[in-house]
Amino acid sequence: MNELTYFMTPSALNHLAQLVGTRWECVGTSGTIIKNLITCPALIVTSEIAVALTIQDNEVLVGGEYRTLTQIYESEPDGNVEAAKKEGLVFFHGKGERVTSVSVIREELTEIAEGEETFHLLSDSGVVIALESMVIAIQRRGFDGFDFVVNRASSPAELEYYPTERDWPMNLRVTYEYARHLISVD
Amino acid sequence: MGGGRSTGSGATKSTVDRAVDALSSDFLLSKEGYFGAVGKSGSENIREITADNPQAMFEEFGRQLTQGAKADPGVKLTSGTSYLHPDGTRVNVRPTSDSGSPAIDIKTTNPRLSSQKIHFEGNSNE
Repeated sequence: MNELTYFMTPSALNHLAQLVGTRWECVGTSGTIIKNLITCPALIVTSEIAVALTIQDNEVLVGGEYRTLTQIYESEPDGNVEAAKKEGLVFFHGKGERVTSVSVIREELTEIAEGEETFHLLSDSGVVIALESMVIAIQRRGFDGFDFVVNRASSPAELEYYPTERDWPMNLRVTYEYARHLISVD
Repeated sequence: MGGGRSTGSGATKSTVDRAVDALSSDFLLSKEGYFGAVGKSGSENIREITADNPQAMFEEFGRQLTQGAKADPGVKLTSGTSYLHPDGTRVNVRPTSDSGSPAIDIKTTNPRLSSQKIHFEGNSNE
């Protein structure tokens, strides 16, 4: 069985942890926004720090075939934040509120073909940022996604996530076990 | 969706709906929205289209599926180009995927199409 692990780097997690206690400004992109979909880089901006998340291509041979299983990494925000604000490619919901916690979204998938596990995947797919009155999820669009979806809710229980498991339908031969975990970084 | 629901009128269809209309006349499309056949792994979302000339088949498939989409320079593929449709459907056109054969990734919420990866293989391949 293949064990596949795609975690964000300690440096990226450290930068995300530094968001806690700062004042929220916005999430956006210097690319494109289509409804709640944002292309890379995803820009997470507070009063004191900006973190840019980008998605890297990755094709892997598992279960006898090449599949796309992308990876998130941190990139330099550079001038992208100002460009995003200037172009209006940002969501300001919750602006001015304090960031109370940050969690990484870690998704897990096991493929079982004819009764045997073919691969087990653990992949960081984004973050959940808790503000004083709302929570915001910035999540990659599935294990093979190159974009992020942004969702917000007034409480963690009400937060919607991208339905990653829907991209992995089961049949008589192949089944999947899926789980989503929130890992606090602060 | 960017172009609204499919009504049968070409003027109101999204770019993805138009591409699906065109492709489904030439390629097998299951009612679940998958092209071709299940590949070696048995995974529903990994598909295989076989042809005498898989490169030509891939090029034609990619040409039709990216009609109305824009190349996205923000996505760097190991080979090929990523395209984004106005409704958010992303199509990665890979002339040489890591498997050696050409491949196309589709990520979509279009109700007629499922997210999938399609490998284009020669008829002689096992």
